[in-house]
Amino acid sequence: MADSNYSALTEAVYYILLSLYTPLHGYGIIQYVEEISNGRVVLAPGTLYGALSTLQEKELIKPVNTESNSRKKEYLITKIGKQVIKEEIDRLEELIENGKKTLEGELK
Amino acid sequence: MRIIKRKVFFAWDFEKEEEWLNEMSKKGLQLVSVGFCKYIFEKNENIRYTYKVELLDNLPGHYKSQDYIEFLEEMDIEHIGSYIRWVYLRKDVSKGEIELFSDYSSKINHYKKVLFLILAITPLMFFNTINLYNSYTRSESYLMLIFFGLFLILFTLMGVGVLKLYKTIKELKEESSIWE
Repeated sequence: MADSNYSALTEAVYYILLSLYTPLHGYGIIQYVEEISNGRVVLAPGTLYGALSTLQEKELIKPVNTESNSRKKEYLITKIGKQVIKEEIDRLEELIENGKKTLEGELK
Repeated sequence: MRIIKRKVFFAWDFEKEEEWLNEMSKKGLQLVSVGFCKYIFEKNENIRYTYKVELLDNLPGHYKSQDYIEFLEEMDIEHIGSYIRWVYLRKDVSKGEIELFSDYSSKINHYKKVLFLILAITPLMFFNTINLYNSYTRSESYLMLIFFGLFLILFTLMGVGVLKLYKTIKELKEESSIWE
């Protein structure tokens, strides 16, 4: 993900990463994302599973050892993941700023 | 009480298969197991399920498939049976909707997997059809002619299936070039 400067995160990935600032398992992620997006983003299990595998491969998230004997795997965002989120927020701010300026007639 | 039904669905019609299974569930016939063109139902009118058929990357016994199936089970999605790499999944309607993919790229990815599966067996089908035709011209046996006819029909259907999948993928890709 060294080229994160050049590409945007998908909405699903952005929200998955945000949800993992505290450890969560699959179903927990779906619930959290649905909640903070006011029900707008509902991740489907197949999509989430694929995203979690890829994010793990790219080391943006990592599995955490859960204390109990629960079989449910929990994940946490990594340092690289947090960096990616920071850069993404900067990118989004630029988009919003330019959008607003255009609407206000400052840009053409 | 178990009821066995035999029915043919082609790989590219897996969504029609899902619709059929959902219809059966409404009628009180709940799919509990599958085989080659064979569907085993249990009679139960007190529950309703929505079914999904998914093509996995690996056989259901593979550890990656097992991991995925366990993941689905956490979300109240039950795995009731498999046929080669196809898995049959269901969810109790009262527990919510069953949707496996929520974005374009994962939807496209699944359709592509089905498309590649069909393309992979196309050469085999093609050579079989040619062989049967040659056998017929050599032997002039009507049996060979019938086989040849059947393969020709199947081969044509496969072609139509491939085009359908191709069109679906193209439409999704167009959408995904604008929207997420």
